[in-house]
Amino acid sequence: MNRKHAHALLVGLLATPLVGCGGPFDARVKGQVSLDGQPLTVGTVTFAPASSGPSAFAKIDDSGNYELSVGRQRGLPSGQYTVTVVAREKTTVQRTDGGPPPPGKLITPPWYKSTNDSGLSFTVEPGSNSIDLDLNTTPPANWRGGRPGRR
Amino acid sequence: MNRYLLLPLAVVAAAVAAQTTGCGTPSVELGTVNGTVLIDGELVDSGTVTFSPVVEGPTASGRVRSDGSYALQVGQGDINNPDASRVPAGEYIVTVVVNAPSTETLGEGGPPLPGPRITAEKYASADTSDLKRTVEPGANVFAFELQRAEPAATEDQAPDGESPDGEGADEQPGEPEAAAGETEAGPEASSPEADPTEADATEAKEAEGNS
Repeated sequence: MNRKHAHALLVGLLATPLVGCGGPFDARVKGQVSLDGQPLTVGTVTFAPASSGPSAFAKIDDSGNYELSVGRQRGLPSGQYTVTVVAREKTTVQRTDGGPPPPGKLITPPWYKSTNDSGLSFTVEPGSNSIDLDLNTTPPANWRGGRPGRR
Repeated sequence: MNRYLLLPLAVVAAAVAAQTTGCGTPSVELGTVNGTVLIDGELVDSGTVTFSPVVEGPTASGRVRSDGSYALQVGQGDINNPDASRVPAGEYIVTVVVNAPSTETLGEGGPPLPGPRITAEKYASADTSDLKRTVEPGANVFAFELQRAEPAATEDQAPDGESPDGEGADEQPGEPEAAAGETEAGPEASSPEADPTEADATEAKEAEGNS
């Protein structure tokens, strides 16, 4: 192999990971979720982009860990994100009339459902990120509490 | 010599790379579609997502996995790599059905009945679904954040602005639909190849409209 080919090969190899349909995202995020210091072992973590781009989601596993994906692809574009967390109890009530089961009781405090109120904002850097989400049941100062008059 | 070679080589490499970036061949406008389904902020762990073309073409569908993700395919899709299955670009109406886990089986050892539907009724039919997406050539990602099928309609969802006084009344507008949903969901849940028939049905409908 002469020098010319070596160059071509090198450039080609460098270019390869940047293209193709497989892994379009430059960052990965995983971490642990806790509520008042205890691991949260159910629920969904959502990373919503501050500007444009897709949202990334993850289910929280039985150990309280999560790892973000966009659709079927692991990872997400690096950038600024607002994070929401929603976890409900499993519904145990069985309805006999074939109607839909009622939603389970919310485990996570309601402000963590909203990008405006969750108070969770993170910058995702290119590469691997470890972002632990430490939730607590003390409402944030700006929380107006449950929006009176609804329901 | 290095300096003179490097630039042209880089240009050639970039050109080669550019050719391989697209997922679809340019002559046939195709795209991959995958994404996520959530109800009330939580990922679902089962269900079916169906994309029905607004104008014409095949219907694409995909099962929702336990991580809440789906990937669309037309028919069998790409057998070697289902997630890379391609769908014609264009406008689609999206229907999504998620059923709760089944709890009962038929007495005669038949297949388990589908659990009750937990997605709101409107998402089950292309006539009522308000989910519309445009598939672009290349890679597409669509997340769907859906409303739950409420046992008693909430203020947000009461379809006809009915007063909440009718609680407990048997003739709630949603009830007969829920019963009909059982037959509707049956074939869909049991055979992933339901799509061609659906496409045929759409074509048939259009043909009727034209005559």
